[in-house]
Amino acid sequence: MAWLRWALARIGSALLVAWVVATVVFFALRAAGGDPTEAILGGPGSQAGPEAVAAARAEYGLDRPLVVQYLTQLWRVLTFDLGDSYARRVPVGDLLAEQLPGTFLLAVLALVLAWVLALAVATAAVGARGPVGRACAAVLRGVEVVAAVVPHFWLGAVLILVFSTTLGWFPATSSGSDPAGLVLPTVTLAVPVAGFLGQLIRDAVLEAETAPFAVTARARGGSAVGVLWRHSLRHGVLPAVALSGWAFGSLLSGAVVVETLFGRPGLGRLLLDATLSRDVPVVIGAVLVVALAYVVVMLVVDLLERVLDPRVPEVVA
Amino acid sequence: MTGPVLDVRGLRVAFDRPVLRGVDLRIAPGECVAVVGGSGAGKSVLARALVGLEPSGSEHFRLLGRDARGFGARQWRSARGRDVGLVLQDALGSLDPLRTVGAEVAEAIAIRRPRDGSGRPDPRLPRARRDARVRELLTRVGLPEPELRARQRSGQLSGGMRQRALIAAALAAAPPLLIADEPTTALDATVAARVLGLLAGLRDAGTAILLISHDLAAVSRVADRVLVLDDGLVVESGTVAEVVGAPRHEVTRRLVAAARLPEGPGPVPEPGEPVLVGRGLRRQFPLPGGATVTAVDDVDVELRAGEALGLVGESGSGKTTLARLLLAADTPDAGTVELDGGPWSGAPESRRRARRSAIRWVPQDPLGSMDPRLTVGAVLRDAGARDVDALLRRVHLDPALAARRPRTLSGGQRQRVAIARALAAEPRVLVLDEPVSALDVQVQAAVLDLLVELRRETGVCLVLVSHDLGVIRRVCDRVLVMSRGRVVESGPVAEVFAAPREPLTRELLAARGLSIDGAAW
Amino acid sequence: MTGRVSTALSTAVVALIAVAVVWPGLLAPGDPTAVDPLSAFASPGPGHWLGADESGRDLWTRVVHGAAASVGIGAAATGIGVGAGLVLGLAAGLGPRWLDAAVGRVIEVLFALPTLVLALLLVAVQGAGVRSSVLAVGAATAPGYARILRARVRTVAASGYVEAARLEGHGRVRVVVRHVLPNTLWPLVSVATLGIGQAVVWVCALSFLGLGALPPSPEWGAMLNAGRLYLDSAWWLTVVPGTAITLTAAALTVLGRRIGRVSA
Repeated sequence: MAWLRWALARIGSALLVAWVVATVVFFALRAAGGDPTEAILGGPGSQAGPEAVAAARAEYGLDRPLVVQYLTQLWRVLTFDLGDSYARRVPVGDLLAEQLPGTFLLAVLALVLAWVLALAVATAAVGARGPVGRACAAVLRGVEVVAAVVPHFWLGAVLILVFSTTLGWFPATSSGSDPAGLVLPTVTLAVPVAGFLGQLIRDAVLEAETAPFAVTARARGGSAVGVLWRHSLRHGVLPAVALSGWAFGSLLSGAVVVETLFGRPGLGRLLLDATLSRDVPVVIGAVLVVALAYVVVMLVVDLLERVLDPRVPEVVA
Repeated sequence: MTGPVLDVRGLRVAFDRPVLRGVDLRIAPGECVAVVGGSGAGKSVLARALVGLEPSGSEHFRLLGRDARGFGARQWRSARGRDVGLVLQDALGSLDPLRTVGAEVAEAIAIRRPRDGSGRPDPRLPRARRDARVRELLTRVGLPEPELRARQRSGQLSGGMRQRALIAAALAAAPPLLIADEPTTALDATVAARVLGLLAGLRDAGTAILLISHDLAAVSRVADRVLVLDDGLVVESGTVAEVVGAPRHEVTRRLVAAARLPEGPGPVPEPGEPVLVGRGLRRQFPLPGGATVTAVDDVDVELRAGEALGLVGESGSGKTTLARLLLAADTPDAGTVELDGGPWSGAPESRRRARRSAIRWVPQDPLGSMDPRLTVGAVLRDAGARDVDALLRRVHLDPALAARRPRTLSGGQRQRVAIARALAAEPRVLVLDEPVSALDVQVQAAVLDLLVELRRETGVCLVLVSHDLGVIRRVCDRVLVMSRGRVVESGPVAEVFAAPREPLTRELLAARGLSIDGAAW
Repeated sequence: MTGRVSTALSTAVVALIAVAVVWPGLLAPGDPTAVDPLSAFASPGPGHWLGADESGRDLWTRVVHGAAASVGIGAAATGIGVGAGLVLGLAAGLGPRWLDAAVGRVIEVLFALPTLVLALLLVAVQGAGVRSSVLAVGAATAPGYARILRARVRTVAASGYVEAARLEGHGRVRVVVRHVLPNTLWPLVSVATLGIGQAVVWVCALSFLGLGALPPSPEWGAMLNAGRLYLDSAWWLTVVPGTAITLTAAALTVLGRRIGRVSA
């Protein structure tokens, strides 16, 4: 029962977030972006006559007061109708549905790869023994720091240069779910997140390894691997799980760059193009989808955290 | 077994500097040996070195008759849990907070079959049998409702329950030797007594026990022999009666003195006018889930000029909340506090501000109460000190410390600075919250002496909160014994000590020092 | 040990960048926009040791002279982010409860949008350009700073020393000025140092997407954008400015953490 209440509260606050985002986007774009008629009629420099402008304004409801337009838009959003793109003249919903799967596939693959890399690096660093092992761990630490800050556009370019131009292993451009074409974009997206998560996990695991409960487990005769597996790792991944929602967001940020770099169609490219052409309905739609995705991911993350950390804020029974 | 369970000679451990410098230790089956010493003596390192968790060197090291000097990592691992169990100092942190108590104990079972069982451990012991064994162990250590507890996590248990669960996990493989590091330190006196009783029962059942503690009074209730450790060396050893009755070494004498009930403050002036008066005080706090807990429940307090009043009780009894109400750090839900005959708890903070120099606070955590960016001198000047040097000398500190930051001071120095800070504005009342509970016994005694001296020389009134009746007796004239937010007993310290009426008071008294004075057990 | 090495390296890198920002002529005396058709696409080697671009402009000179633009824009954006974060965070931490709740909601909403998406939105509102990319990155990073500050203000306000000062009879204003602000702001030095590195990356990302500084300018992101077309034939046009960005961000991150550990 308490659990259901918690879930409902989360979803409620998620809807609130989505509504505020949509509202802010609408008014911000309309307030500063001026009249979108220009976008509808083929961008700046179009030589449309006054009749064409008036017709377009009437067609898209732009001649009505802003508040009415806002309410219309809101009602449409509530009924899953995002309106038509100004620039492409097709329903925004169709555009999004077309571009969404590719981007999410990319982001999810990258998140999974980032977790695998981060876990591998963190456990290797914790398990390092002897002078050589420790030296390797120190180098890995340096790699993690650089990985965490490396810009997507540069990493992607270098990967293209090495694995596509020079070695010819993978194509430099990518579309849809072609597996070979997905490799480089996925790696490009995953590495910075892996560096970030790896540092979090390593620090947390190392802290847990020296915590009294880990020493106690060793005092019971537990082996190094057993203690790591049963105790430290679980504590170690908690902060990384908590920040995975945020990491997913940064993957969507990265997708804008990576999709541009690899010439890959997707939500990021769509958003970028819509931004450049002030295609308000598309921008609102894309931002809403991103915000909703973030909210859903946060919900999943919260659930996962509850599973991993079942502590309840409750004192002596 | 006939020979000693553990026989070590010349045990040495060094990190940057030598920590253990040649320790001899011998424990027979069914014997309880206590190692006592101040902080930094090397006690915890000794406990860990004995189970191979610290690299050590020795002239002779036999565990259950086997030479442990050549043990590699693998042999130590198989010895831990099976040959020797270790219960670490920190009961709160020693149970994995994410796992259930049952899982922790079951882990110990899965790693180690009991010695009497044969063959390798079997992690796939049928679930039902493992659960039954967990229940059996939890029952054995006297954990109430073992089935429920096995499903709970560390955060849901009280300190005493946690300690029992840890002992249960350490006993999973029935090791012939159990090492317990400070098993009672974080516990209330009455709970500590019960945990010590549990250990005594284990010893009587044949388990050899090595007890490590800073508190001679606590261990002397169950130990057969006592070793006094100081700076990595055993400076004195013998039976409890020998060591306590005729301490030869200076360190031992100090430990014995600290374990005894101290002297009172000596002749005190007649109490004068009432300075701080609380009437019908009540304070409730909300609990998660909508319930409330009444921390202070209809309490009357009166502090007269020149008086020192002790508030004593177990943790959660409301003594700190009461002290905060008297300070006007917190507002009562019902009742009033008056200071010097004027309204105090009822006055708005803007009115109180000017009068705050009359009543000052010495908090439980002196370090946390000082801005980490400020020097000691700045802290004292902020508190209203005009002559920082004189103030530091007043609390027997070197005036040169004024330039240091609080973090660089020792615990005793910090506590003295906290007292100096409270004295800076020459207040009429000092409220002290557990002023010595975090300090070593020797440092404790010196700080309490300082309080007595200040009382005598400046006539400041004290309200002293402590869980330790010994501390109260050293400083105070009158005492309130609190339990669950209520005052259950009150009166002059001498009377309450001589003829305690309430069972709780008797338990608190019994927990403090009486064993050494040879009464009642 | 390794910590000291990486700190020393980072300090050296940051010092070099600082020189490049303040006095680029000292490291590269040439003109970053000087066109020389003869050395177009010269590969790294004698003459142009980091190579030259499609118009024969020396890359080393351009990277050195671009430092001021890239790092300056990053620092300005961080300044805006920290400033806005300060206002929001302090308002939430010190203000009344309803204000805290309101600011908390605002931060939550902003967090639902990834940094670059938020920056894109702001660019969409203001139009492309250096000024709007500074504003966009600043505004997009502000919620992070606000959240850190709000948490920090609450921790400090609930600390023992603030209560001790209050119980000594010090007024609210004095407590805030003497204890809360210094202890809140000092850790921000570390966070902001880290943040400049991140902001440089974001700003360059916007330029790379064609929304910030435009190609003839030696700004690093703009150089990347121009070089992208020649990735197959002249890799140095991409690798050189990209390395400058990565090194700057990594060095500032290491240094920021170091400051954080010292001040903790």
